[in-house]
Amino acid sequence: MSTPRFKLFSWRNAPIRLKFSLAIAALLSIVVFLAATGYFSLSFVRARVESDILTTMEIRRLAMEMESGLFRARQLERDFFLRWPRTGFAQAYERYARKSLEHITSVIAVNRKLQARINQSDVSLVLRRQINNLNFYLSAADRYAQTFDEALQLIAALAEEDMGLQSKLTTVSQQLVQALSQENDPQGLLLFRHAQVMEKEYLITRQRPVMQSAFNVLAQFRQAINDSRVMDEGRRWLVLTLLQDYQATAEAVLVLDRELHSKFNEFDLQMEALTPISASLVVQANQDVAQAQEEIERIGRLASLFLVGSVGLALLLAAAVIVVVNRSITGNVAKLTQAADALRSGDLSARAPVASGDEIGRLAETFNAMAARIGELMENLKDRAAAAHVRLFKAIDSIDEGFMLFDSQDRLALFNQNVRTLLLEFGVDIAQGVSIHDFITDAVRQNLFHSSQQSEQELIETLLQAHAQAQASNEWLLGNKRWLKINSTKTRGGETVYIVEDISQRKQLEEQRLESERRLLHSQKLESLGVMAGGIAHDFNNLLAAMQGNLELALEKLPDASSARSRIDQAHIAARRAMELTRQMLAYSGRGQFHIQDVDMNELVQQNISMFKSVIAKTVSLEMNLSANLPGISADIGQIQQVVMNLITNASEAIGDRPGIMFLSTGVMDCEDHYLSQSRIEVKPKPGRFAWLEVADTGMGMDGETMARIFDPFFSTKFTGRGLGMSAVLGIVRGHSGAILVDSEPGQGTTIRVLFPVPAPGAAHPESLSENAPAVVPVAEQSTTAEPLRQRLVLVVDDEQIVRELCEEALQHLGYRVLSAADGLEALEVFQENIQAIDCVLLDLMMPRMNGVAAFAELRRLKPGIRVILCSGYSEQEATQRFQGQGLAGFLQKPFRIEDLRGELERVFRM
Amino acid sequence: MSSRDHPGFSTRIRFLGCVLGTMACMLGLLSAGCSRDEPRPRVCPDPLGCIWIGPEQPIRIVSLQTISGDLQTVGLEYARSLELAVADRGNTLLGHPIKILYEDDKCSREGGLTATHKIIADETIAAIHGPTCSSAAVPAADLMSEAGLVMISGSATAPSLTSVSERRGEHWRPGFFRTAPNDKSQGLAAASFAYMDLDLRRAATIHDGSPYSLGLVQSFESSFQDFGGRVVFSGAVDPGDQNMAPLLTAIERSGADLIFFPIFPPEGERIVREAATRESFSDIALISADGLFAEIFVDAVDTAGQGMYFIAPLLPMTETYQTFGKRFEAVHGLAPNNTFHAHAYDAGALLLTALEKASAVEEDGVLRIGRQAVRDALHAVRDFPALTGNLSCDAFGDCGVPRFKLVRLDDPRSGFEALAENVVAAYDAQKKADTPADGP
Repeated sequence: MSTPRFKLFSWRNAPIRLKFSLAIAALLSIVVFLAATGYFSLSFVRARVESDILTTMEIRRLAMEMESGLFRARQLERDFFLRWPRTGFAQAYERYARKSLEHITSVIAVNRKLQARINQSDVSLVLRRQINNLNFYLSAADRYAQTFDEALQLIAALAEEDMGLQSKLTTVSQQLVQALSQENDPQGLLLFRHAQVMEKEYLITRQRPVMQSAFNVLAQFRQAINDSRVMDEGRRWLVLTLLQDYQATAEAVLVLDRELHSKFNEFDLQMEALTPISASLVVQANQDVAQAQEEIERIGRLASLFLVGSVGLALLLAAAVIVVVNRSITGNVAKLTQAADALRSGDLSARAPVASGDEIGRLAETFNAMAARIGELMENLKDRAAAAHVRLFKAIDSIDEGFMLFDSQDRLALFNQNVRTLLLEFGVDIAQGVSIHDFITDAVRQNLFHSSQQSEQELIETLLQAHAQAQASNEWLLGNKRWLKINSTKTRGGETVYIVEDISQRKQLEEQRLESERRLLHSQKLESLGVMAGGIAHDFNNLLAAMQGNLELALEKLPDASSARSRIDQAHIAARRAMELTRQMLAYSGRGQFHIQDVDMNELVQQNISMFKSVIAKTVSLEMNLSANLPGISADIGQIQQVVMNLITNASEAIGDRPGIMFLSTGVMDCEDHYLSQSRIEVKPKPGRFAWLEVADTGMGMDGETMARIFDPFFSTKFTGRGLGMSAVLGIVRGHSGAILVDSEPGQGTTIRVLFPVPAPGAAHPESLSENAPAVVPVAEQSTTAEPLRQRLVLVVDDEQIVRELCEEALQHLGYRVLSAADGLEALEVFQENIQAIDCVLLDLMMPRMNGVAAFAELRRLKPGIRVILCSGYSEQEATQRFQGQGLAGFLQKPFRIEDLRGELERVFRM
Repeated sequence: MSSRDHPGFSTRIRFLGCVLGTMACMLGLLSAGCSRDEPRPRVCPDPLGCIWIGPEQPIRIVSLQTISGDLQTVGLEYARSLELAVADRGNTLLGHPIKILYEDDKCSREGGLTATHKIIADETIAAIHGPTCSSAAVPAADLMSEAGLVMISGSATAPSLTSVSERRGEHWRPGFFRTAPNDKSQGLAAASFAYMDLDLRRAATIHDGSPYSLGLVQSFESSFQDFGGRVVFSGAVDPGDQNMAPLLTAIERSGADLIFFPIFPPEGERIVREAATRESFSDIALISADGLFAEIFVDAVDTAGQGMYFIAPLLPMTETYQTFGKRFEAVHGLAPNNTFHAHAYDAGALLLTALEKASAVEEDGVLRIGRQAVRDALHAVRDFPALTGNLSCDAFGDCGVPRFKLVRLDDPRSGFEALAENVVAAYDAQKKADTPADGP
């Protein structure tokens, strides 16, 4: 039990230097092992290769040597057989046969050497099998040599000089010829010569039948010798003996030739059998060389395999060393590093295992102690961070705007409930992880975003480009007419933050503000027009007052029969029309003459029906529908009358020359804000009970543009129109705090309804309630019989010289004394000079240096009871409102008739 | 703490074991790649040595026949007879397939010599079937006997190959056996037919120098003279001789009344044709032997051969023989029509039987064939039931039954079968001769 513990403890606690030294030693051992393995493998391969190659090459060389030797022997043997008949046996033997035999002997020796080489070496099995062929080769070569030797013996027996059969044949034949010659037997000699020729022919052709022919001739010759009667017995015996010897020798030649022929055949057959063997040996040796090369490759592969195995083994050993080093040193360092990395990454529970007692082990212990301390410190920070995290999410969820966060991969990472609720209204549901592309595509297809200029795909691409650029703030009109403001921001980390705000209410307010501004501008324009019209009317009235007064004075002074009277009357009529015009202008501007009283519109209509009808074309019929219970209204009856007249005129002109119907109706109704908001007057009246009068026609109707401008001054659809009628209606109704409603469509006729507030029961007249109400001007009964107070002095104050002089002349005409002043200051001077004498002041309102209002105040200050009649081109209501409660004696509207002047002065002086 | 208690330590031990084991495997692999199988040494009890046939390895027999030249059809037919004999044993022997190799004896001394040199160079050859011709058999018997082999021929009939006058022939060799009858019997039979049956007294003989031809002529001349006849001419031809006129002129002048020419085609054919052209030969009987008793010869000479005699072995017309003929035709598509087809089959059957007797199976399945044991088995054959009769082998290697017939070619157009059946006379040497000697 204790021994392994001791060893383990020793290794674990060994210094790192020692561990590294041992590891390097192990690696060096591996290198030495590899080197030894490689050396062994290479040596082995080299030895095998050299042995195989050399052996096979030698076998091939021997086989080729054997083949060439045999070939050479065969050549010499053939040369011998071909040449010996000509050169003689001895010479041919020396020149060819001996050499041939030497070659054969050499071949046999080579063959034996070859067999021994094959037997001793590790040649291929196929080559070893050639041993059988080599055996055959050897025996055949032996046999060849033996056969050749036998053949040589045969030839020697046949052709050897002196001893050979052929020589013997020649000798015997010579003896025969000699014997026959001595016998003088030409017939016999001829027969023998004949046989001898055949014998020679045989020796050339070696054809047995030729020799047989010779034998046949010899048989005849023998018969002839036997039959010869002249030849003695002794010589007969000699000849027959020689003849027998000759034939026997010839037959022996035949036998030898047959045997030789057999030898030749044997040579051929042996060569036929041997040649393929040596050739196949060469081929096989070549194949063996190739096989040796293959063997080299095989051994090379084996050596490679061995080397690979060795390398693998070395790798395993190296791996073992690495494992040991890793476990002892590197692994501990790595674990320590991992623990440090884990700690740095936030894993405060990370601890380095203390696996050894060496320096690393001690370092690990120190690290662990530090980590524990850091862990405690971080615990508090984590709690705080977690709380902050929760607060952040709650904050995001609680903001009014929608919030979306796309990560750097453009996938939705975070969003709050607001944006989800908003998107769900459009059927767009979102979830974490959805890509920006899918989100935008879904939103566009659900009509969250839409564009009239772009196709769906173009819009998607536009939105995706906007997402890519991100740093933007866009306002989007949604499919349900709501407005969204989308702020996008790219973070440094490539994330995209979207803040989505519903700005529909703000947009609505903006639109309303713009509409108000537009209306204000319009009303300001109209007001300017009104001011201008009022100013023009005032100046015109001054001029018209002078004109009319002068005309009246002229008429007074003209005799009745004067031809100029008619001219003056025409000028007078023109002046009246001009007065009417200025009156309309004043009515529009609200500066017309107001005399507020209870007015029954039904009565007014009925009383003026004939006048109304006079402006209606003959082709138009007027139908009236007057409400029976129409309450009265507080109004200036003249202006209401003008309103009705203008409406009828307008309707008639709308019908034109075509036949048509005009409806005039009255009624009463309770109106709400909504209904009254449709009024064409900028200032809408308060809800309440209203009496209304309506004029409808079957005329051409109006389009939107025309209807929008119908009340604009000087706007007319008629070439000859002055364009003030409907403007005057608007000014009058506005002056009565009423409302105007217009309903018209092109081709469908026009209906215009004017509404006037019905005063509450017991309520005072409007003038007493309205700040704009004119100053009360006492109305005196007009006396047609009263005489003018001729001694009275009247101060005329007017900046217009024509008017001032007219007034002086008219007053003088009426019997008054007259003083005049061109403005307020001058008037005060004149007044102060004649303060006691002046009974009345005829005071213009608008003057340079000091206007009528200031002058009136000074006059009243200088002489509080002084009678002042205000004379102005403005309407009474407008002119007198500034003198409310200051004791203005009277008002004279310019232009006025001299009769009006007299009437007003008389009324004032009667007060 | 024990090593078992500490996993790191035991792991290291195991790892070291793996490393050493791998090294051992590597070295083992290397040594396996370097070593070579060495043949296992065997003990052979046979004095001449043994032939070892490995498991699944074939028993190799050489068919040495004349398979080229004019006698090609003859040699091929004898080879097919061997194939049939092998087939009749199911192509196997003692569980080993039988493989037949073919060599050409060229019907000559040189052919036999060369082919046998080649055969004996291969130590896996178990035995030789053949040869066709005696001229080839002479050197072949010499070489193969020296090599410890056995050769059994169905057609080599030269007396010198076995025995002459009850003594070893000149070319006797201990490994040679034959099922063909010895020509000493045929020569005797020919002389008997000529002298006794044809009543001829003046004989001319022609040989071609081959052992068969020479042996048969010598046997004939001796026997004929013994009968009282006279040999008036002894001539010879060489292979390839074209002109037979001088030879026949010599015979014509010799006064012979018969010519015995046991030679082969084409020289035999040329003699017959030349004889036919000579009127004087109408009275001279032409007698040949089994060398010319073949269909190709009969067809070749045609009418020129009319009246010619042939001496051939007399085959027993047993049911077994007739069945063999039918099977031969069924297998090879042609009926056997050469003289020694049945002897060739018998030679094959006898050889296979002897090999079987001389073989033993080793423990590892290797077949051992004793060389001397094969010869002994053949010498021990007695009354072996064969196509040509009950065979018994004598001490010289003769196993054939010496029965002959004399046939005459009366109508060359009637075919070879008609010729074979046109038996003029029959001769059974066994009935007339003594029993074979006991040993050489």
